[in-house]
Amino acid sequence: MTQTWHADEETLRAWADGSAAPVPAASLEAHLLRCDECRRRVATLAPSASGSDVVRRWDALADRIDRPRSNPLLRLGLATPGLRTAWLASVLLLLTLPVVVSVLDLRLPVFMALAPVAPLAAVALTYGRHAEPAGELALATPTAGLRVVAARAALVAISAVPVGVGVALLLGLPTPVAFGWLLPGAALASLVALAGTTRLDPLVVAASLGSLWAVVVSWPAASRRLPADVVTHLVASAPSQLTALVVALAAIALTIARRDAVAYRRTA
Amino acid sequence: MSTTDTATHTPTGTLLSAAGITKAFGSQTAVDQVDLTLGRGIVGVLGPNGAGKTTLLRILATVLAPDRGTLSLLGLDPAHPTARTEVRRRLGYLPQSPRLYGGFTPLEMVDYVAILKEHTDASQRRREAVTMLEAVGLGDAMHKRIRTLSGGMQQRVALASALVGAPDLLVLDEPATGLDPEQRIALRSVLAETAHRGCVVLSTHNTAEVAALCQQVLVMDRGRICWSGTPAELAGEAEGRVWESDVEEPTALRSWLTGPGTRRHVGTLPDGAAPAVPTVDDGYLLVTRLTR
Repeated sequence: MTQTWHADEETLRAWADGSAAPVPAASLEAHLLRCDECRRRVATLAPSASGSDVVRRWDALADRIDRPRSNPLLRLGLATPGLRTAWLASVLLLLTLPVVVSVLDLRLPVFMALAPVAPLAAVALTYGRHAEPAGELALATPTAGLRVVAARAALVAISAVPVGVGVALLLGLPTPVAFGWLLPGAALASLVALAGTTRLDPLVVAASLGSLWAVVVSWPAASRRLPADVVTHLVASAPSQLTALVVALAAIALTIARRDAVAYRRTA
Repeated sequence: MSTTDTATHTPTGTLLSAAGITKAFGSQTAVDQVDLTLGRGIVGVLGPNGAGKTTLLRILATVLAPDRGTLSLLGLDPAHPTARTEVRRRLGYLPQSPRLYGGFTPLEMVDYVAILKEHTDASQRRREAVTMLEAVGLGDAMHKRIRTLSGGMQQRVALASALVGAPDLLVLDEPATGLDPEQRIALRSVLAETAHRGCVVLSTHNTAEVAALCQQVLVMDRGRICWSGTPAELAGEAEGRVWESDVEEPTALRSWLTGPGTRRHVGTLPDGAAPAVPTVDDGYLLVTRLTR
């Protein structure tokens, strides 16, 4: 097959100095393999002086990782490594937990003890002072306060909840168990959100509540008073679920009522 | 407190008013019974470190709630959540130490702040971010990571973020920190545009900045506003009360060594001494001493 086109100077230069995007670069490389003319021309271009390949590739990688999202919700929720870590940690916990539970076949109700902790941890981390890319500047914007925290919490919920439920169902956990952690998780997360409107540190509250929940759920089985699956079904039972729903709704209502404390602070 | 009228062709409405604003941290009263009425124009808050400038500015920026007193920003009371959100839609704020995320480029940071300010149109947002960054002299650096920029450049990224959305109320805590004289002149023209339609409140402890940037000056000391007027009036306070000599003077309220090695004094002019031409610096040193 004869060549019908040649790469222009700019494209060759971008490829030679490594600034070409990956897809055009690969396309040009395929072309260079077949085209003497372009190979000759690219050889005449001066090699780039912009540091080693490793540095350049590392910078490009950092660039991709740090690049903000165009979608406003994603951008609010995943703008910085801190926020991405919170999101990733909760998704990973919900992804691996059902696997660990079904592989190890534990005596303890591990899934019920730990799954509700994931949303709670994510909410706690979205409150973190260092999570806000614009720092104090963000406090003087109309989105400040509960709106931005709610957007971040919603982002975690949207992605983590289907993962947790889906993997649990795929691995054959009973349906009430696969869904049973959702309301306790929502209740715990709402309590952390409520703590964010007080002087308490949401991270400390999250750690305390999370540990308390894990211990309370594990204790009867650990002390051999009740088998693990009985505890699990107890958590998944209607009265427990209803209690969790009431706690979650009450905590959300109180948080909304007290939203001023997040957006208009009384302390430095 | 007087209302400044900086626009010559239109009467000035009150854009910002405060009555009895007080804020204490523990036993320390940072802002003490401050009354303010401001219209259009650029107002400089001058004062020594710890005078309460930053606390007052944070209150005016709706970041901090006052313990007592009433506040009206752009005709709205920030104590009410809906009104506060409305104020924030028309507000630009530059904190004293902005602490921006270093992984963003200036363009991404200004764009992000524009999202926080509810600008939904992505292409318009980007255009505005570029305009703002060019206005603060960062046109060439807008694609570099913030962490690789100098302190002064980072300060200007935060300034561009504060300016985005053409706010009617601009609250800037030491905006000229890290700027060289040329950039300070550029800042003056950026702020003048906002001052034409709205109110700019900035803090500084540099009297030269106040003279260069502001139409009105408030001098703050120990939480209170102890003096207000124009920069020329502040310099005028020292008229006939500033002189230079080679020795220490017992009648001086304050004395300091000048560049050429003579001593400059403010206070009661001794007999036979020739009064020097007063500067804003002299006036400032005199009023902060007289009000103590």
